[in-house]
Amino acid sequence: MTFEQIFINLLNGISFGVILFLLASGLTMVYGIMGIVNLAHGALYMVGAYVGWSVAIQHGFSYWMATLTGGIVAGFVGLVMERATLRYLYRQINEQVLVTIGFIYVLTNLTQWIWGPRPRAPFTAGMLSGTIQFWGCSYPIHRLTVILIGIVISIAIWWFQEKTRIGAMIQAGMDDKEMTMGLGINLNRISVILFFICSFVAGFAGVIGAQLLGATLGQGFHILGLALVVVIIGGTGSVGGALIGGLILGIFDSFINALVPQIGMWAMYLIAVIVLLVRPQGIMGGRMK
Amino acid sequence: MKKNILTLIGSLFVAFVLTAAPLSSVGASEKPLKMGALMDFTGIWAELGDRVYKGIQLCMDQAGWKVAGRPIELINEDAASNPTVSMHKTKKLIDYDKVEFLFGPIYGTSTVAIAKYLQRRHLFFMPQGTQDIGLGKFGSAVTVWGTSQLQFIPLGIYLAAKKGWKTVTLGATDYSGGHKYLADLQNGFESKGGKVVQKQFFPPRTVDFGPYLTKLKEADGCMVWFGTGAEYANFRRQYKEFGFLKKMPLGTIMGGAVSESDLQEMGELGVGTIGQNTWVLTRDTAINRKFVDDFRKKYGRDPGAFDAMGHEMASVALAGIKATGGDTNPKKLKKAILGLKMEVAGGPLRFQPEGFGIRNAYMCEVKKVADKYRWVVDYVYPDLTYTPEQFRKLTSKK
Repeated sequence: MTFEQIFINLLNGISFGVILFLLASGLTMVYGIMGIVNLAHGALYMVGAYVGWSVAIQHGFSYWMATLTGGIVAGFVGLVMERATLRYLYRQINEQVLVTIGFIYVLTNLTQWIWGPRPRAPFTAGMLSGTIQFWGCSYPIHRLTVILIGIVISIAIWWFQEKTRIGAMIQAGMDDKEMTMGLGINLNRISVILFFICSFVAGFAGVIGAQLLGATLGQGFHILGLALVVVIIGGTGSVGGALIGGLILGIFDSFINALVPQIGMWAMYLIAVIVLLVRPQGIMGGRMK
Repeated sequence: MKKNILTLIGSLFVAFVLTAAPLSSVGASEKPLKMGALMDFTGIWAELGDRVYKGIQLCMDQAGWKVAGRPIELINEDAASNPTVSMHKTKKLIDYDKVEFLFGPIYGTSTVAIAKYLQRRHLFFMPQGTQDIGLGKFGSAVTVWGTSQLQFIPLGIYLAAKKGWKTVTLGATDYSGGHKYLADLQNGFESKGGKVVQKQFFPPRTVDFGPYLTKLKEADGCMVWFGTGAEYANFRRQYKEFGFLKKMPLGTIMGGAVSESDLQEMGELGVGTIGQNTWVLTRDTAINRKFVDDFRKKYGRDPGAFDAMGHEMASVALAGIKATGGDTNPKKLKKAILGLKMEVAGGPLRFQPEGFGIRNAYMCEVKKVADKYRWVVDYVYPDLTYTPEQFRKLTSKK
C-alpha cells in the first residue's frame, strides 16, 4: 500500500467514523443519562436520511435545510416514542429492548409506505460535490466536510455538557438522580429535552451520513449494529468514548476493506468482542462521562 | 302416509340432482384460479419484489382478471428476502390459500429453499432468476429471464468485440450471484481475447467504496454488478469523485437493476453507463408501447426492467394456462409453456427444454433523449440460444 493510499484510506475511515460518532453519541447519552436502551436509534437515523432526501432532492431545497428538517422530524418521532411508551419503562431493560425493536419495524414499514422500497442514492450540497487534489489523487470535498462537521458537533456537545446549565443538570442527574431531584430540578423535563436532542442528532446524522451512505430501509438495523459496537468500544454514557470508538471503527473498517475485504463484513464485530473481553467498560467507560 | 313420505323424499332427491348438476358444472368451469405471488416486499430485494408484482398486476388488469374462463384471484405474500420466511409463506399459500400456481420468489437463495418442496407438492412456479439451482431438475418451473450466461456472456463479448476493450476491471457484491455474473462476463470477454485485470467483491450493503477505489487497477473499462440502481449510483458517484470516470468508462453488468427512476435521479452522472438489458423502455413495438402506456396510467411513473419482467411472467403464465384450457397440472402446463413462441414487452420469447427463456440481450448505453435519461440500445444479440453444453464448455475454463 502506497503512502497516498494510506492517507486516502485514513481520511475515508475518519469520515465514516465521524458518522458513526454522530449516531453513537445520541445512543450512548440516552443510555448513560436516562438508562434507556433505545435500539430504534438507527431507525431514527434512517427517518432523518429519508426526510432529508425529500427536502433536498424531491423538493429541491438546500442541503442544509434538509439536515435541519431531518433532525427535527427525527427529534419529534423520538419524542413521541419517549412520551408514548419509554417513559413508562424506566429501569425495565427487557421491556425497553422489546419495545424499541418493535419501533424499528414500525418506522421501517412506515418509511417504506411513504417513500417506497427503492433505496435513495447518496446526496449532498451542490457546493460540496466537487473534488480536491492530494498528491495527484482526487478526493471528494463532502467527505472532508463530514469530518469538519464531526469536529464542530463534538465541540458543541462538549460545550453543551460542560458549559451550560442544562448540561450541568444532566450530569448531576447521571451522577445521582435522587439527589438531583431532591434539589428541585425537574429531571423529567430534562429527560424529555435530552431525548429530543439525541433523536435530533440521530436524524441530523442520517442526512450528514446520506452523503456517503444514502438512505435505505435496512439502515434501522444495519447502522444500529455499528453504533452498538462504537458504544462498546468507547464505553456507555461517554460522548468522548463515542468519538474515539467511532474513529477507531471507521479507520479499522476502511483499512480492513482495502486490505482484506473478505472479512470486511464481520471484522468490526471482532473488535467489539475483544474489547468486551479485555476492557468490558470500554475505553472511556468509568473514567470520563 | 309412508308412500307419501317416500314420494316426497324421492322428489326432493330428483330435484336436488336436477339442480345440483348444472350448479356443479358451472362451478367447475368458473372455479376461481388462485395464483400466489411470493414476492420480496421487504428486505434487500424489496424494490425488485414490488416492481415485479406491479408488472404482474398490470398484466392481470389487461387480461380482465380472467383466463380460460376462470376468474383469477392473486394472493400475495412477502418473502422478505429471506429463505426461511419464503418457505413458511409457501406452505401457507399452498395449504391455507390453496393456490394452483406460484409467481416468485425474487431472491435466488429463497428459490433454492422452496424448489424441492414445490416439486413435492406438485405446484407449478415461476421464479425470477434460477440459474444456480439447475432448473431442468424441477419439472414444474420456468423462468422468463433465462440465465446469467445467456445475458452476461454476450456482454463480455460485446465489450471486447464491439467496444474494443482489451482489459477490464470487475467488481460485484460478494454473494454467489455476484461471483457467477462476473465469471459469465469474464468468459465472454476472454473468449474474444480480452483480459480481466482485477476482480473485487464488496460485502453486501457496502456503501462506502473508498477502500476499494483506492486500489482499483486501471484498464480500458470497469464493469460492476449491483442488485439495485441506488447501489450503482452510489458507486458511480464515488468512482467519479476519486477521479476514475475521466480515465475509464464504467458500466453496470445488469442494466435492468438501474431503473428509469434511478436514471432520472442520477441525471448527468449516469450518462455513458454501459449495461445489458432484457427490456428497454424505448423499444418501439405495439406490445411494449401498450405496456408502457398502461403502466404509466396505472402507476403514474415510467416502468423499469423488473416491472416489465413481472408483466412478462404473468403474460407467459396466462398464455400457458389458456393453452391447457385452464388446467394447472404442472406437467401439462410446462409442456404448454415450452411450446409457446410469443412476443412480450422485452421482445420475442421462447423456452429451452430446461425451462429457461430464450430472448434478446440488449447492449445499451445511458443517453439523454428528449430531456429524459434513457437506456439506448447500441447492439442486440437476438434470440440467444446457447445450449447447456456450450455453456459448460465456456464456464469450465473458470
